[in-house]
Amino acid sequence: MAPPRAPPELIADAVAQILLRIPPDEPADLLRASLVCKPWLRVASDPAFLRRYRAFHRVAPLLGFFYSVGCQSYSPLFIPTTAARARPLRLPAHDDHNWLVHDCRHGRVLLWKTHRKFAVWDPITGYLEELPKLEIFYSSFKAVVLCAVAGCDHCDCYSGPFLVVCVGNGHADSAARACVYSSEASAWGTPNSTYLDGGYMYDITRPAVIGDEIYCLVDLGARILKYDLVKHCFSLISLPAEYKKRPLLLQNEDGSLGFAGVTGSRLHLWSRMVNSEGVTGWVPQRVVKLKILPKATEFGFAEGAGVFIMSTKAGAFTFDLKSERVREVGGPRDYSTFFPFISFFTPDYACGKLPLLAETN
Amino acid sequence: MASAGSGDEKAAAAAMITLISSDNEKFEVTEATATLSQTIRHMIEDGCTDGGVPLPNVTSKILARVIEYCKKHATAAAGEEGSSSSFSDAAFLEVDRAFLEELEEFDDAFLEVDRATLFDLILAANYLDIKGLLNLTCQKVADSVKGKTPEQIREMYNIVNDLTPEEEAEIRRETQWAFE
Repeated sequence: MAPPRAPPELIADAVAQILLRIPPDEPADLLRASLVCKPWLRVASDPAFLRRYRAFHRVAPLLGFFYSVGCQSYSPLFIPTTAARARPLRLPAHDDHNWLVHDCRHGRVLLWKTHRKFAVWDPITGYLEELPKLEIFYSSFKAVVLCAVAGCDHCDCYSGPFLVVCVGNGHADSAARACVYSSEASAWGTPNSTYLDGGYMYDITRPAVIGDEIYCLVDLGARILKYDLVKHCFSLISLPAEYKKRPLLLQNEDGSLGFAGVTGSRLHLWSRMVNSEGVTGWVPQRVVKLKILPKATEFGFAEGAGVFIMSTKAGAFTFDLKSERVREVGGPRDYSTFFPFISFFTPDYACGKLPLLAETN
Repeated sequence: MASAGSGDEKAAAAAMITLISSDNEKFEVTEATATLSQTIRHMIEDGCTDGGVPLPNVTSKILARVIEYCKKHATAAAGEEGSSSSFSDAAFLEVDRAFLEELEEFDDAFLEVDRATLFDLILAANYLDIKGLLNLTCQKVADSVKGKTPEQIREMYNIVNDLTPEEEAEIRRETQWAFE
């Protein structure tokens, strides 16, 4: 029998069409394909192609979860969820070994450095921006980092402007205060405050951000505090049900506010929406039996990917909402909070051949 | 338009396009089939299809396959258009689903080719600008490289590695993350 005919050589256009369709959820696939030959490398390292690649796939993939533990950490704590088990992180040039992750969103990590001081770290480029000290004092607070571009799809905004929003309550009064840092102004803005009954203890779980609204769990997960970034106002929302374990706020696929709570081995998912009578309230969405994840203690959620991460005595596990597949991703530890790291990791990002945030500003 | 005649026969004849492969074989196809290719659609719009459309980059063997794909997908598109007005919503959905299933089965069977033919189809789909075919064939290759090393990909598609060992080592070092 004659040997099979050798495939013809592809022109650059055709190579680009193939590479464009390699799914981004395992970034190593495109990186390895780029090493096949010079024509493939040329396409895969062309910035215009990579911008097209990110636009083609639209949604950045989940690369893993940052997490915090009960004590100070001297290096970033990260669990990769990709097949490549190495960490796709670039540490800043000057590392002060203070790695308390407070939030992670839109490819940026918010670190809580010392009292009233934050830094924003871009794990792809390694760029770290120390924020000026907060002028107001919080007795309890929660902060989030956000891309500052309205309507951004977060496919290519790694070097763009960002905001850090800090909400909390002042010292010895019952005012809820919000203060916003803008990277464009390199300064914190004037704080807004609203008097609410009682002072709130902000929970350690990751807040949910939906559009211009930030939702934090307060009072050990007994209530939800909402801050509207545009209207500068606070309001309180009750929970749909009480759960013994700390619940989680999240953004549902349809854009509504979601709520997840665990009882025994069941995961209860809720959605806040307008019911048939025109009243906004909690609507049960789904109950999932966690057959092989009994007694999950802490958990996190990656919006977009639809993946939960849960810690049990046996370790950290991911749970895919669509496929209901469970995967062990980390060993047993005293995990306290999980923060999903969602970003493209294309060859330009991987090689660090990107302009640093500082250079593009 | 060239099809200014009033007779059915004349209109039907005018709607046929002749495609000529690199090895000079002629294929008669309907305009609906041919215009799945944006390249040919533009040629028709520019009125330069008289005497046939030479396709010097496509062999008769590959052109026959491409036409097979276009015929099937053009029929499906026409069927969908026709059904939207003549069926109730439920019946329309049913027909729609049946069409899609049939089309999916056709596409799966269509991709049962050797790797050389697959690359030939990609080149033809790219040259003729047939979006559906390009997507189908390129996705097949893209899926096949998942989890493979550069060596395995080269072997699969008979690609010569023209990177110098130094270049390769440098990139591997920079992107070590992907190779661990």
